[in-house]
Amino acid sequence: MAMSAEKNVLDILAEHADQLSGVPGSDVQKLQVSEQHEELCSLTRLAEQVKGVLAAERPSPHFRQRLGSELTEMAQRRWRQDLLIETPSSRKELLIGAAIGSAVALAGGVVYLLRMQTQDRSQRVSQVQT
Amino acid sequence: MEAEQERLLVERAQNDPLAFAALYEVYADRVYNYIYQRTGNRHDAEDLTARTFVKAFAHLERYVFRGIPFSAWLYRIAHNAVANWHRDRSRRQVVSLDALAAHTEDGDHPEDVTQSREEQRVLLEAIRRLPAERQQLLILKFSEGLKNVEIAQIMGRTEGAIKSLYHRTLLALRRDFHAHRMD
Repeated sequence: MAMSAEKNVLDILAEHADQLSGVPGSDVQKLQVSEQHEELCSLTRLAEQVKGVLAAERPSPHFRQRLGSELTEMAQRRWRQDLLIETPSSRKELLIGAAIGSAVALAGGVVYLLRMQTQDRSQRVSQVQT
Repeated sequence: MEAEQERLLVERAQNDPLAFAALYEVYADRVYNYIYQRTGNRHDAEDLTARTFVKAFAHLERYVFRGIPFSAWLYRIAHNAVANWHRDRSRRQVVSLDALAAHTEDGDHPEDVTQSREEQRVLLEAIRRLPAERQQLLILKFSEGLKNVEIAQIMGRTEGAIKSLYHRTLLALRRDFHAHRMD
């Protein structure tokens, strides 16, 4: 019995606070029929006073804008860093590509020289035979 | 903000650092307000808000959605920044009289205004004397207008535990407030 009364008080106070804060769907009708009417009224009055002294405070537009700019600068720096981090891998790819290209070109040159040498030899052999 | 919308914004920012600006736009006011209510002065609120967002930006890749929304993750960073600030500097929180002045309605009688302002000051001081988690609960509920389930996610508790903590917080606050109002 005592526990359910306490739960009732907690629920009523929570609903009252929700109503003060503008939370939709809150309902304090139960307050009217509660056996602990006086006690609850005292606490809800206090809650209303608390709500009054804790009114929301906004930052100054200057501060808000300055911090926003600082965060944007930080974001830009990080974005550039991210790009730099990505660059080595693309450099690596470029180097590998260049190495493969050079190797292919070198191999082509070697093949060309070998063919030339082979052609030279066969020409000499045919000249000797004639 | 819808959970799905938040998830998409976070994913974009994790892949493209420049997209973090959208998250900042959504949460800047809320994070600043939370820290302001915990520190009581604009200068430190600005400093800690900047630290919170710089840290969130630096560690964004570590955030993985596992039932905890990004906003809860961000509030936890802000909460830790405030806790460190209190620990490192061992400062007592300052009650912002500017904020109190703003709450007083125009057209009231001067003596009523003075009394009302004095009551607000005593209440705000009583709130500042509460343990950190109780202050956090009141700020998230009344200043940030969050639901119990959202507060539970930020504070790593169940919704039932939050309701219970809220009740105990009001009881403790009423005792302290009445005791100091009598002085």
